[in-house]
Amino acid sequence: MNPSPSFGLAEMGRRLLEDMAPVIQPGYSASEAGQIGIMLLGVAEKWDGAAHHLRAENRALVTLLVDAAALVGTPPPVTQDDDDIRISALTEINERLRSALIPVHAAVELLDTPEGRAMNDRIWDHLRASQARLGSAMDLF
Amino acid sequence: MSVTLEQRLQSYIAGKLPEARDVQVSGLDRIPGGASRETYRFVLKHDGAAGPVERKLILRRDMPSSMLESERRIEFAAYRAFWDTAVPVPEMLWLEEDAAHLDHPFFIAAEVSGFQAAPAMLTMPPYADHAEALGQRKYEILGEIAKADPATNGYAALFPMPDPANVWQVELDKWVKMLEEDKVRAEPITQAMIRWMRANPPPPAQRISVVHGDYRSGNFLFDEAGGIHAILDWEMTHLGDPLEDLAWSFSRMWCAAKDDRVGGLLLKPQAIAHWEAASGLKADPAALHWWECLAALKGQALWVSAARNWLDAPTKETIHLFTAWMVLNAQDKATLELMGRL
Repeated sequence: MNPSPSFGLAEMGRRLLEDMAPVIQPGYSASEAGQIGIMLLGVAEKWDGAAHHLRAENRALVTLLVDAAALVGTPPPVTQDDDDIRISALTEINERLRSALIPVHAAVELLDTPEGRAMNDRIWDHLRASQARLGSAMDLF
Repeated sequence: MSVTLEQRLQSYIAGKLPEARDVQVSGLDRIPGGASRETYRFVLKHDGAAGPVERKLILRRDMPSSMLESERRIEFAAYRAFWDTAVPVPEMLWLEEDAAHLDHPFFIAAEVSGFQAAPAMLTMPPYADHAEALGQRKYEILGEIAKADPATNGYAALFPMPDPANVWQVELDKWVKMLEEDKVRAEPITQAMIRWMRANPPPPAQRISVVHGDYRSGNFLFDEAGGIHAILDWEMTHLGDPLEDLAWSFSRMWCAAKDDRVGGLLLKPQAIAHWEAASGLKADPAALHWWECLAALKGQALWVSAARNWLDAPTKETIHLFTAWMVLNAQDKATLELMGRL
């Protein structure tokens, strides 16, 4: 697609938000138009890098889970090929890995050792990076 | 020809005003007003014993699908509990729980017209020029809510009186349950915070108070000179720890100016000072921090519920998708900040 979806959606979102929403009546429809404009801008912002960032995060999560599992004595995560780079496929892997992280993180928190505290910090660093990946200039915070 | 909502509303009100003649409803217009009920404004005209009557009214009708299964009976009673008190609220007129009239339960109230509600307006002139005055008024009113006596204002008849020692656990369990029931994705950040909250509970509530449940910028009507004319959206009201409302109002989700001013109005220490002066209560910093975590959990549970609604409900409300896409991740960032991990 050329012009790119990022470029096209950003322009459509801006027009909806800035040009159309202010003159739409009734007020409820204007509010909806504004929300749709913001969502288009958000998708435009994330479109191009979504698969790249998601696959990188999944690979980092696998490494983190392998190391954390070794520390707390639980089985390492079952790894999965990420040759399929459709966002839906990568998101499915990401969801499984993030789910696996929750009990491992809880177990790490109970380790009152320098290694445990270091691993806890690594997990939080990962969660912060993951949140930043998903963050948008349009977010409330 | 099908009967419009406006015509059905007119028939309903005519039935409620048997002495009135020539009852007319006009100008029915849906307005933005939360993600749990549809809100409409309209004009009611009729001839009464003293002559022609014209009133601007509000219809709040349950949505076919809502992110929050709250009881409109409770919300209606809450407004009535604070009517004509130091806490400004609109006058409630009729509550109807029979869906036969307008397809869903609803209530009708007087419109408090001529004022703003949108948080974004707080950051713009002329309102931004009065941000501190608005903030002071906002927290004085919240202090009045915290000070209200549930035994005499009707709340004690609506809710069982919670135990001050474990009210925190009741709220924690309630929102964890909702987060899990409506789950749309793994929540490692929120789950870590929940573990911390269980391990570090707050002290017992200093008193059991009325909790508005959604006290924030966006849920009150303000003017151009720092005045607040109505506190709205009482659908999550209950009895609990008064710090719950204070903490919820501090959520990053309501920082309209995208800076450290809570609710886009004033800094946290100022807000606390106004609230303490008005309520006569103390905001212990550690306890308040715990309740800010509860606010983050509650927020995430509500946003997840919005996402679940979008996925499952036959009627797709734009606000639910907007919440799922634009708020879930921002709430994670706020939780990271609360956990000292941002």
